[in-house]
This record gives sequence, structure tokens and C-alpha cells, in this order.
Amino acid sequence: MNLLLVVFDLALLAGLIGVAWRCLASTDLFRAVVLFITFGLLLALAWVRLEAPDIALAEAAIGAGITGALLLVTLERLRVIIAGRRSDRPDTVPPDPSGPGAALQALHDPPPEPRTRLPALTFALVVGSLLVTTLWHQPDAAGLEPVVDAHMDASGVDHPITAVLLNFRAYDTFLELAIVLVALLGAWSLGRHDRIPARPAPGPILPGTLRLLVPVAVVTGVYVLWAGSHQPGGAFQAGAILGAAGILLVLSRPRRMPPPPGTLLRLGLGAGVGLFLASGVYGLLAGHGFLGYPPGWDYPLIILIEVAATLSIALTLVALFIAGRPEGDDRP
Amino acid sequence: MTLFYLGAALFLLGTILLGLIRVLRGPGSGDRMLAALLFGTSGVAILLLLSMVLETPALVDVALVFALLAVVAAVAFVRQHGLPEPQDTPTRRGHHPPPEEPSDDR
Repeated sequence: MNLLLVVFDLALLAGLIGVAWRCLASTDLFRAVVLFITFGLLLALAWVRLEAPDIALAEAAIGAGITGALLLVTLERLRVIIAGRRSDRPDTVPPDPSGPGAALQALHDPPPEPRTRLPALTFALVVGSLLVTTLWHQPDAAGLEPVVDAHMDASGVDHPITAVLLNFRAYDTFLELAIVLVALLGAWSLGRHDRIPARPAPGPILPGTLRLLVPVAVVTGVYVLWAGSHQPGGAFQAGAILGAAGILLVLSRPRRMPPPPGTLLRLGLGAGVGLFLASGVYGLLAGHGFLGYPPGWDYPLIILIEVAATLSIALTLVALFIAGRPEGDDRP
Repeated sequence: MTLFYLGAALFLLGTILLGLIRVLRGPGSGDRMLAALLFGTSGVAILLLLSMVLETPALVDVALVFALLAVVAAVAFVRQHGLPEPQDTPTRRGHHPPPEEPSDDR
């Protein structure tokens, strides 16, 4: 049993390293994208083996649902942009080394061979030996697990990860939510979104799949959010699942999506950070410290913040996938 | 029984590693994408087996999310690369040219 587990881990490790290597070394970008999707799957299995099912859940939602679609669409957008620029200037046959033709070449051609592998080898050796030294001196301690376990009754929830994320280290989670929002503001500041390139997919399969899958995804998202208070799950995972459902809708009918009402969209995007901040400031004023919960109110407040955060994360992921401000949204 | 589950999980992991050949060699993008989608299916089975082996019921949720969301990449692929033309009906092309605009309506 233990021997088989070791064999399983070794095979998983070999697969992870091999896929990562081929993904980075691939000259064909589409192949690299497919390898990256595979890498996400193997990584989720690795998190399972590291006894971190929460992270495996997040990796499953992000890796399987969102990153693959995002990279595939980005690759196609890149092709459309470069092909469009090239057809603007058809007479530039010898591609200018800094021009758009060179970028198109880079999509297909292998990069020039490096003259020497010595710098890379030295770098890898130095970083590798540093990592090994760090691992060598790692104290054989259980980390912060006993501390968290000792204070679980004060947290208001039953799942230690949720207790850490939304109570003991709420500050980190708050800033993470803020970073997600800032990332979206950065994307929006770059301009309005282009059309997502899409080819016709006639037949009943796509609409039928959507009709079956999107409701199931919404129910699963809500379930994962609810499960977060006592088992692996929570706002980030649920938000990623709901976001993936939204991306599925965007992908299936890119030209038929009605633009969302701007005020509601902004309210939804900011709800997580806003509610978290409001609760934190209330805690500060009421004398429980910034982001502290009043006694007895920790469970309802955590659930409320998680619901708002899930909504914000899902909306932000879809908006980041579309990239760029919604159309008809150019008020000064 | 645990030993059997673990052996099956190891076998499935082996099939994923073997299937990587299809991703690396191709030749078409469809071959590569299909291989990755099948990895997703094997991954779901591995997760379910591991949830029995490691006695972690939460892994069933991970498998559920994987099974549910593997479709997103497939839909993205179909939307970007289009569906292959049916090969055995060459006359259809003359009578029904593929529409220029994507038919988003159901």
C-alpha cells in the first residue's frame, strides 16, 4: 500500500516535471496551451497528495475551467490581431524584425538556439542547492496547525482553512480580494473589449450542453460556498466555479450577450471588498480591532462576506475573461 | 480493496502519462485537445479512487468540479477552431455553404 503510494507520487512528480518542461520548451503555442491544461490537472492531483483538498478544489476550478479557455481565446485573438495587421501592409514581405510580422513568425518558428547553456545551468544549480539547503534546515514542526486547532471555537466556523482565511488572517483575504478588483480596473483602463473571435458551431450539442451544465454549475458553486464553513470549499472556489459558468455563457454566444447594466455591475464587482471593509471598520469602531467580529456575530458575518466575495469574484473573473470595459460605457 | 483502488489509480495515471504522446505528437490540434479532455476524465476517476484510498470524502467535490468544468475548455476550443466539415457529404457544401456569421441563435 505504502509502496504503491510512493510509486504513484513518483509517477505524478515525473509527469508534472515532464509536462512543465515540454510546456515551457514548446515552440507551438497551441501545444503549450494543451500541456498547460494537463499541467493543471496533474497539479490538482499533487495538491490532493499534499493533503490540501482546498487548493485542489481551487486548482480544479481555475485550471480546468478558466485558464484553458482564457489561453485558447487569447491565442486566437493574437492570431486575429497579427493577421489583421499583416493584411494592412501586404507589401512588407521581408518582416521587419520589430514589426508585427516578426510576432507572427514567433507564433510558429522555434526560437534561436541559445549560444551556451552555462548561465541557465549555473542558475538552476544555485537555486536548486539553495532550495535543498532550506529544506534540510526545516524544523520538524507541525507549523501553525496546533495554534489554529486550539482557537477553532473562537472562529465561528468548523473548517480550519475558512477560519484562517476569514477570521484569523482576514487581513490577507481582504487584500487578495482588493488585488482581484485592482486587476480588473487595470484591464478596464486599457480600453473597451474586442469581440471574442468565434466560429460557428452549428447543431444542437452546444446549446443543449449549456442548458444542462450552467444550472448544475450554479448549484455546485452555491454548494461549494456553503460547504466552506465545515469542509473544503469557500468563496474563492465557489466564485471560480460560478465564473466558469459565466465564461461558458460568454463563449457560447459572444455576440448576443446584452451589455450588463453598468451600476449593477460595478456594485457586484465591489460588493466583496466593500462589505469586508465595512465589517472591518465596524469592528474597529466597536473595539474588536480592524477586521474583528463582534462576539456571536462571527458566523453570520463570515457567511455574508463569503456570499458577497463569491459574487464579486465570479463577476470579476468573467469581466477579466472578456477583458476591457463593456461597450457603451464611455461616460467620462 | 484499498490496494485495488490504489492500483487502479496508478494505472489511470499511467494512461495519462502515455496519452501525453498524443499531446506532444499531435498531429492536429483536435487530437491534442481531445487527449487533454480525456485526461480530465481519467483525472476524475483518479480523484474518486484517491478519495476512497485516502478516506477524504471532500475529494469527491474536487472530482465533481473537474467533471463539470472540463467542458469550458472544450467549448472554447470548438468556438475558436470550428467544427470539422463532414467528410462523407461533399455535395452538401455546394448546396449549403457554411454561414459567414456565427449562428448564435438556437
